Amino acid sequence: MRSFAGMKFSSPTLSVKDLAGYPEIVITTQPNDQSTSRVAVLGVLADLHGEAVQYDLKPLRKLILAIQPDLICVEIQWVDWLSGNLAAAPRAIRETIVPLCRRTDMVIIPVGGVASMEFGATEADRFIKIRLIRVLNGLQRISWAVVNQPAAVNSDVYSFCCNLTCALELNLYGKTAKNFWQEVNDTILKNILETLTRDPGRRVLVTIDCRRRQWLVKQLAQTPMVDLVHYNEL
Amino acid sequence: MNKPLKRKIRLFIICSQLLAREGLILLTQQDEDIKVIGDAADDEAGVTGIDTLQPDVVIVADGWGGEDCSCADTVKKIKAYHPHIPILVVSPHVENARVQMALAAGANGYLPMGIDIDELVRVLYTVNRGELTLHPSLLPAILQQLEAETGGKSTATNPDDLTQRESDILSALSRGLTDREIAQQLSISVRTVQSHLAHIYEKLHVHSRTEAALIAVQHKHE
Repeated sequence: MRSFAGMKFSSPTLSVKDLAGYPEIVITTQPNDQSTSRVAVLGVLADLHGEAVQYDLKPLRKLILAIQPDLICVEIQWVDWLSGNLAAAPRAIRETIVPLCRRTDMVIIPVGGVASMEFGATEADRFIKIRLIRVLNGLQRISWAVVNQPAAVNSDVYSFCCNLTCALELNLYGKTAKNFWQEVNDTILKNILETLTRDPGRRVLVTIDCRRRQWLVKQLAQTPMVDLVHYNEL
Repeated sequence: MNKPLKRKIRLFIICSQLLAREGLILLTQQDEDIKVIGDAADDEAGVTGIDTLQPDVVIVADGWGGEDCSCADTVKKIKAYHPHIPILVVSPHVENARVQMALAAGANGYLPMGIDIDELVRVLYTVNRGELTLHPSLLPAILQQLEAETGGKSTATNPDDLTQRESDILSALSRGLTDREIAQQLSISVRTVQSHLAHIYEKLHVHSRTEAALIAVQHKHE
């Protein structure tokens, strides 16, 4: 039956329902030259020590639909991704990015991450540290209730506040926590660079815990194979 | 350049069993971009409804009428009047003969009942673009049949000429994976997979993924 020979099995194109509100986004459909990849880093709100942060995910969904990257790096462990266990992943990934990618041509690249900073304070001054950490967590929770639009989460001011809170918390948790946080950051960066080496010349969106965003942007900006752009220009 | 905006996919469902039909309506409408504009329990009502409503895609849910009940006739009737409306068959029967009859009648896709809703929605998008889609689980059996019909003869180049990455992709393709599934498995983009596929076709002197997959299957048996 040669009538089968003309069959196509390509995957579906994206159906963008509504791009209103994102008129500034310019999608370049052609990849760069093959040695560099266009990369954008999009900070997303992470869950706070296992507690899901409740915020409206529609703007994030709209934005990712509008960007339509070729590859989307997300903070999921490989083993969790392969087993389909996304319980540890933040809501933004679990409820928005993964379902979107299942329906479109965007390919998810798990890059590790999702490390909680709940390492426990040292015995000596646990009481004070715990109080301080709770205050900082409370501040983050309050800020996330207000600042939950992608543009706001990725603004310089918010990134600065995020970094400051994160650094303070890490200092309170101690050296082990700091080292672990940095190890996770390094793993994420290593996996992103491996992805770019494996498939150069593509449009890559890295969605990352907003607390890691500034560090990651700095690292990627120094990488020759990366053409780092704002997510609106990917 | 922004990609063009698409309107909702307007879907029509033909299924003789009320519960299954209602289930399909509820499940497909979970997707924001799909709207069920009509449904029917039999061919006649279906063709009339399609005449009136002019849907973008029709789902013909086949096989609840027993082993003898085939969707091929329904597909033929619809295609006779509306050759450009894509038709997707969803059926619990996955025998080659049934699949081939449905495709020969003009169906644009064939899915077993065991698929999940994400898969169904994805295929609806593909079929809406006018592309032919078979569920990956149906492909190996059809390829083997094709191989039997062609007597295993092929004038194409040996797959050994392919690079390691191209061989990986050909192997995945012969297992019936879609471009997206291959991309996800190899952690590369869909466009990269498509670019590799173009090279594979060129090297093997074939024009479609089915022909390429056939060569892969033949080579595996050698």
